[in-house]
Amino acid sequence: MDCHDALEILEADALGAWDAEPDLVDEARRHLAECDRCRTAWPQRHDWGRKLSAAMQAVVTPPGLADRLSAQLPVAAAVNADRPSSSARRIAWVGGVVAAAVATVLLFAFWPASPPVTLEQLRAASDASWEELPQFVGRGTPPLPHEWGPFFELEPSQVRAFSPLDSAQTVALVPFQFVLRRGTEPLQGRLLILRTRQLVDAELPNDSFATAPIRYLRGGRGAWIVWTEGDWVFACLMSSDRAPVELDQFRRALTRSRPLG
Amino acid sequence: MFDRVALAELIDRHYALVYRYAFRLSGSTSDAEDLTQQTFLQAQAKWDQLRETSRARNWLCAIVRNAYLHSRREGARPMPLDAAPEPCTVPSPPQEIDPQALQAALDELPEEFRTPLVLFYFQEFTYKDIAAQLQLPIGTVMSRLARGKEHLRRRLAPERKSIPAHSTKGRKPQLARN
Repeated sequence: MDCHDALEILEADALGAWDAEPDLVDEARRHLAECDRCRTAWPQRHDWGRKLSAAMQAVVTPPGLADRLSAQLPVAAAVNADRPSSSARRIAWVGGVVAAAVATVLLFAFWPASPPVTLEQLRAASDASWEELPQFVGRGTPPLPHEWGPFFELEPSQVRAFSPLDSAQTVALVPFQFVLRRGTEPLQGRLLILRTRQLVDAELPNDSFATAPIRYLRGGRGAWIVWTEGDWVFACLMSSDRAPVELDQFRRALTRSRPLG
Repeated sequence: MFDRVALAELIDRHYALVYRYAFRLSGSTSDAEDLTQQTFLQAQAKWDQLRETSRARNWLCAIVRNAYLHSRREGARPMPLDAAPEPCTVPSPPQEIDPQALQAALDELPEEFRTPLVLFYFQEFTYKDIAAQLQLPIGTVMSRLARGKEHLRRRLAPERKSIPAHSTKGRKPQLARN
């Protein structure tokens, strides 16, 4: 055995990595005992090994990574398993232990000539009793937000019509829930969908779900995100005490995950 | 069909290792997170290939490496390694190894030298594990580790000055290597 192999085997043995041929460790020790050069070099080799090992392992994992991984996989599987192969996309409720459920409130342009609603009026959707709202009937199927598509599908019976106070507009509302991590309570909220022409607001946002700001609902009633995609306006509301944080977690789970299919 | 509970446990148990490995290979936090996601998505898709849960760690690391090799850009050629080092010319290590310097030194290495180094210093893989994962003879693993370690020591030593070498001319490793 030469100096090369002896020092490599001794370092591997010191780190618990040598499992190839046990006899070679004894041979390397004998070499060390007899070789002045290796006896000189070994303490520093050993020190290098310990320090490199500690430094190599010192990688900080990003906060929430496990949650994001756990959130993406089961949801992706559920959608993938239940998604129809037909080109005509089936409108179906995707339930499941960890899968998301979506309910929608559609704000839809029944009466284009009627006065549009304001963001302030839309906020009231967080207080509306979904069970008491009538079934939504529109002239077409409203789309889901682009980034929600891989995770959710609409069930028509879940879509209710919401009419903001002092407005002739009819809005569609869909409740949803999303399990961030197995064994935890699902996050719950409501999604509003309406045409841009239904909404009057000087500050109509033109963002994506991934980048639009999270806004507080007045009176500590939660938080929401409003954004536009083409001719559509979406509003995602959560009304829990931890809504700003949960809304951010939900958004990150949808926008940073990459489901199958 | 995969088992969701088992998959969730797999994530809980191994996501940190997978991420660390992906980061050391790619040198980028965003690439490492992408690779981690890809790895568990592929693990889900290839669930039937996992025969023993005790082999899950090696299996996942193999997926990480394949995903990394598949994703890396063409044309980015790392610097070549110097000739095989003299075994007894070991510079003193620094008091603490600078994390950024370590990653930079790793990034300079060709992948075939970087990967065994990372696996070796993670202290979770034995020589046999590394050889099996890279599908290489033990001697080749040892050779690549020796050259990779020498590169790190040269790059990370406080002074690039080596202890004067005693001659080992003519000595050849006894184990088979590339």
